Amino acid sequence: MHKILVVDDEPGIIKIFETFLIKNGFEVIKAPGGKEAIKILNSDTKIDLMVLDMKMPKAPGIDVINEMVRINKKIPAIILTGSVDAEKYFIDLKALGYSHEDILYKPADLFELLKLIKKKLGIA
Amino acid sequence: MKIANKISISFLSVVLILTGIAVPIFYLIAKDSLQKSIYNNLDTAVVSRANHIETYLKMLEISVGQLSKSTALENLLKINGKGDPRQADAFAQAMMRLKRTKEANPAIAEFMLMDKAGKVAVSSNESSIGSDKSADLIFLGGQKGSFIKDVYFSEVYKEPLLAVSTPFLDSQTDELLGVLAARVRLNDLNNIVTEKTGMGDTGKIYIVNKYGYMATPARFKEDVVLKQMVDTENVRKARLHKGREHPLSGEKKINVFPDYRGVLVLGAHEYIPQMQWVVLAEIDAKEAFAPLSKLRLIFLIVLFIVPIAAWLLGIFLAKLITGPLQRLHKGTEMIGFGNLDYKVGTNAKDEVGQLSRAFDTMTESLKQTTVSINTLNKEIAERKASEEALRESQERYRALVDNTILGVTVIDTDYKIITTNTMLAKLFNKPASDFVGKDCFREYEKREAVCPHCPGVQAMASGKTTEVETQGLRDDGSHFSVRNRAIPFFGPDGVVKGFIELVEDITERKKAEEKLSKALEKEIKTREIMTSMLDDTNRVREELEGKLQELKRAQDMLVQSEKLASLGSLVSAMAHEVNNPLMIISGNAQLCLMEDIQNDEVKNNLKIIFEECHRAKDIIQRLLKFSRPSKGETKEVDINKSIEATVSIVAHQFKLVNVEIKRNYLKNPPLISIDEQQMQEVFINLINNASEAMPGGGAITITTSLEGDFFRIDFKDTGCGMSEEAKKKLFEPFFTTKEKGTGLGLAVCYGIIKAHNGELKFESKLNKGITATVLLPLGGGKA
Repeated sequence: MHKILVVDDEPGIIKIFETFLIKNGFEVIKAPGGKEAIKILNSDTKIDLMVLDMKMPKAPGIDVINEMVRINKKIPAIILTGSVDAEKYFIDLKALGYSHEDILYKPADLFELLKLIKKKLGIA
Repeated sequence: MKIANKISISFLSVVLILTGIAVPIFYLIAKDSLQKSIYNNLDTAVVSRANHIETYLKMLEISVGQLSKSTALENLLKINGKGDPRQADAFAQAMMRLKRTKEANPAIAEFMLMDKAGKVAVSSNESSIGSDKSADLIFLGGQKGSFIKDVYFSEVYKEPLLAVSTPFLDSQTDELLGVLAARVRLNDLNNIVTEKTGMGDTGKIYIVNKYGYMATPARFKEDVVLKQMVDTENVRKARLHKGREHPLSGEKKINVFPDYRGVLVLGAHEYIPQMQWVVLAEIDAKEAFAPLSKLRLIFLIVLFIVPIAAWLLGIFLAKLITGPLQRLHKGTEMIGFGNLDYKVGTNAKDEVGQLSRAFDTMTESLKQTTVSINTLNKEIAERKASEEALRESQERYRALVDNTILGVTVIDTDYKIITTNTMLAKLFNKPASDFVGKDCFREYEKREAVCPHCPGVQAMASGKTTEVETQGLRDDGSHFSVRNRAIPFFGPDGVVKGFIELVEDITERKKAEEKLSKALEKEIKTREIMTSMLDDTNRVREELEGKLQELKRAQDMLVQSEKLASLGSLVSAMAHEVNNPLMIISGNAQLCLMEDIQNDEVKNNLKIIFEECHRAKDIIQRLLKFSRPSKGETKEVDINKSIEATVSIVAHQFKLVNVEIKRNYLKNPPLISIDEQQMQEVFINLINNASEAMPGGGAITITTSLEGDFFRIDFKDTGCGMSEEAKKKLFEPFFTTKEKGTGLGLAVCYGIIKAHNGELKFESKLNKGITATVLLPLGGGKA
């Protein structure tokens, strides 16, 4: 079973993703912010993919990405944004190996998200 | 600096240095030897006193020892306390013996005889008979041999005493019978120690006992015996040194130190081992070193007098040397003033004397030379006078030439300028000296060879004055009209030497002539112009009105763009806050839809919720694009191809509504750095707008061209144009003329093009269609 880390500061959004992803046969780990996500990334070695919100009040998504690069543990990520944050960091993201395809704008269609997750994980 | 000063100062400094070094050295040597001699005196004194004291102590021991051989005392001891009837007699005998001996020896305070148990059997002082001395040092020390008890304070006699004791032995068996002791007054010891002979005003000798207290009286302090503690350097060193006992244990001599009163003294010491006494001899440093202060005064006087003497001697010597030099100096001054008869020579045999005589010889030869110079001077004066006359005549001639109103120049046969007057120089705006020696044709007409019309050529050939009218050319390129008159001149042999040219400036006259003819022509032209001017005025007014309207439009646009920018940032902030709730609504709707819902209406409603959420998302995304602060990813693009790619998306659709697309592309367009994805959004918006402006079909003409530093793209339609109101609100978000428009299309286009530093404008004439124009900077523009 694939393990997915969901990072978002909005509990309502986390709950939707959790319900949806479990229904579709994934194991879900939740992180209510960037700091918690970094902690989980440092301790749990078996995360297959991450759904990451860009704009969060304490540690934004770009911090999590940078931490992954720092500890040299790059896992596939789908970057979720409600605004122009992803654009703002796009040059950084591109340098770290992400493309426009990895970005989804809120409100995202859950099935679109599912399609993207399956593509990233290489399951039909 | 004068030589005199130099000499006296060097003299002075040598003497100062020498005395400055010598005097302190002498002083130190003197001080050292004085200190040594004082110390030796003290040491001799203290050693001799110590010897004396030891002898005295020995003597005390001997005298007590002698008494211990007394039969009377022996008898008493043998029968004492044994109830013998002879005891009273023996006691009286012994008593007498002791009293008598005491009287013979005034220094003795008391003799006493103790029995074996330490009880006083008999004493010269009756009150002590019978007392128990078994614990007294006198008894204990005296049992084994001759013993001297250190100075102690006697409670009985109320004074400090010494005590000497010795064992009393049986004259036959040598068996110990008792102890014989004498208490001794200190008078004799004090006399020995405190004898002041040869000790000066402050010298003192005293004994310090083994406990560190004074055993003999002090010279400057009352009541010190056994009361004054002395712990000075002298005492410490004496104990360390132990005098003759260890003669080699270090230096005995010590330096100046403070004594028990705290006064600085010089001192020596000696140690008496038997008593562990220290004998000290000390003298106040002040007295000891008194001779030194006298010596110091003498040295100071020497230090003061010697340099003065050296200074005076220096001045005297300097005078001796510089005197003749000064006389020589005075002599040279006299000769300098012209008194060649002055003699400075002296008979002195030294170098200065030789110099002065050589000087006199020189003066003599100078005197002879001066005479011949005088004749020469006279000749020079005469020549000067004739030259002056010549110069005056030249000046007159020069003044004449310079002040004539004609330009005058003198030129030789090689056409080189010999001279030029100020008037001519003024004509050419140059100083007259600049012309001398130069070619006349170069200077006056800027030619490379002799002027073809040169009047000089003819004048020199014919020998007659020749005239010509020509133009002078200045260095700055301006020219003026002149009349030239060349007059040849000849040398004394009649051969032609050159020519003089008289130059008259006729520019003003020429101008006046031209003016007259021009004025006539003008008169005719003016009439023609007056008639056409009326037409022009009308045209200018029309143009001005047009410009005014353009200006008004530009101002409106400016206000508009300011408004849009602030609206944009507001929208950006708001959009973020709206997206999260939208996500929750949309997500929940989707989750619900995944459940098995039987009611179709509920299912449909959920679908509507989901779809509307995404419509809201689209609007927000467009708003965000409109307010986007900068370009995204840029690359160099062929704009024609980029437009063509956009057109191909809509072409099929346009055919259905009868819209034709005409292309008028610039060939070989320059590549431009843009965000192609964004720019294509602009193109599709503009093409769609154009199409929608022509509901009945028509043509869109896309033209690309270069305009200054910009790449220009025009989208022209054949629709009905737009109203004035639409023109004003064109870029305002949510303003639309379409039934289903969001009113964001052009606002987004505007945002994108601004981010590229470009321009977007519209031209519309009613019923003639609209032209949308995009201008993009060729340099890519700095975002």
